[in-house]
Amino acid sequence: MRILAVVLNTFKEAVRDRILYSILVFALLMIGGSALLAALSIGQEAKIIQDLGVASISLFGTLIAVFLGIGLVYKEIERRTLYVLLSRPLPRDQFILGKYLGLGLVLLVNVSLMGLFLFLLTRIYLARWPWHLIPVLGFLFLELLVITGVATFFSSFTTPTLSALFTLSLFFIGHFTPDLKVFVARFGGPLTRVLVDLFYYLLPNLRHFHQEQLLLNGLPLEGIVAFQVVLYGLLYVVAILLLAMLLFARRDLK
Amino acid sequence: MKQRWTLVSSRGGVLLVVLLLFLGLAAVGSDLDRREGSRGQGEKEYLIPAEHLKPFLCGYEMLAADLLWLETVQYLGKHLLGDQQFPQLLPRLRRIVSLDPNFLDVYRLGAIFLAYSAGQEEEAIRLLQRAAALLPHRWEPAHDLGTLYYLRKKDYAQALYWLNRANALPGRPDYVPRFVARLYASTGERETAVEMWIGIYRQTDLDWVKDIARRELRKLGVYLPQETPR
Repeated sequence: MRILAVVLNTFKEAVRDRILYSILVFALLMIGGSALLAALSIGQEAKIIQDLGVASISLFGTLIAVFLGIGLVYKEIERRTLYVLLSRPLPRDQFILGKYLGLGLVLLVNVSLMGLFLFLLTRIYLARWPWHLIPVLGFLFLELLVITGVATFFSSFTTPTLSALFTLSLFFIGHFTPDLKVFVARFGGPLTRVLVDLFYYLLPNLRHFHQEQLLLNGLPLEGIVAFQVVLYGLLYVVAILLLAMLLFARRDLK
Repeated sequence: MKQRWTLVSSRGGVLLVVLLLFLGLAAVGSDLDRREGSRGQGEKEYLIPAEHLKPFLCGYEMLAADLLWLETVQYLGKHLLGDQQFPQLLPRLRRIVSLDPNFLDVYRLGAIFLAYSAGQEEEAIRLLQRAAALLPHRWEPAHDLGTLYYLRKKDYAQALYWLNRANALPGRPDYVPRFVARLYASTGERETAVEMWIGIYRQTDLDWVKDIARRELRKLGVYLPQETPR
């Protein structure tokens, strides 16, 4: 119940934030604008609308996750509301979990809104219901949950500016990690390989969540792969949240 | 008290300066456009290879492939209406399919333009063979290879092989079994070619591909209903 109060409060606070609406409106404009861009193609309108729409949802969802996630804890400290909250019987770990789930709910609502708009727009061009978009959006949402977890982790011990910097860096690194492994396998020495392997498994590999090359082209995705992607996302979220809770529990808030 | 003069004291003056600046920008911009446009069309341009682009795309490879395809369509249009030379078509197509290996239309349309507009049949075949290997469950690459071998290369054994493969795949057009039967009977080369081109003509919604089909049919002495023989 106490967590639920934090979740709902975080959600209400986030939906009052103007930055959320700016990003959402811009994302909807981008998705709608994809129809104009598609007109330049020769017969690939539906594909271009889907690709640009999915990329917009991913990009703007990431911006929402980062810019709302980085201030999760800091804002409460700055406004001193955190001390009131923690003076009640609310453990610090539950506070972090509640904050994370609240932001997750905000993302769910936003991805659903953007996804519904894309779904209807694609329906017009494809002349059939694009059900294949649902797993694509599901994986994207999972990626956003991982990014939110990372933002929450940094937010639990540092300032919003640094959190934004670190989270965005991890977003880029998360898409680079497989290349890094290939590069090291070709050129690195044994010690470098061990270190890179360590970082490879510590840092999130966000490419796992991008299965749209198969799904948007009408190709089947193996059930085991889909299951493993979901498992990977959930395990990463749990791990990063536990670390965030640990750091926040030891943080001196005086 | 006298107001201090600042850069924006006179609103009209500032607007006039801004207007003049934009006029200057338009003049410089249009001159740049003219100079860039007059550069040799066959000039070799540098295309960043897909493998260099990939790491910076952060999972947005499909979007990049779409944007590069739109750029390739502009390139095609410019050269179809211009010098009819397509020196950079193949590298462009390769780059797109490296970013999105399942982008079927790029293989199909790319092969048509390579074979019938750029005269690069071998490259068109290689592109379609890559599609057939990557997308073995799709009839389109095998069908296009069959027609290309038949119509352009006159290699009937290869045409039969690929059309047989297309025939075995779900979703293939109704006329494919007829082509296969004709190829087995080794009869009516011209008739088969005419039917293949009419099939291609009917199958596409794209004016550019219809133009190619119309042109090839004219070569075979066939004029579509809306055309008259010259």
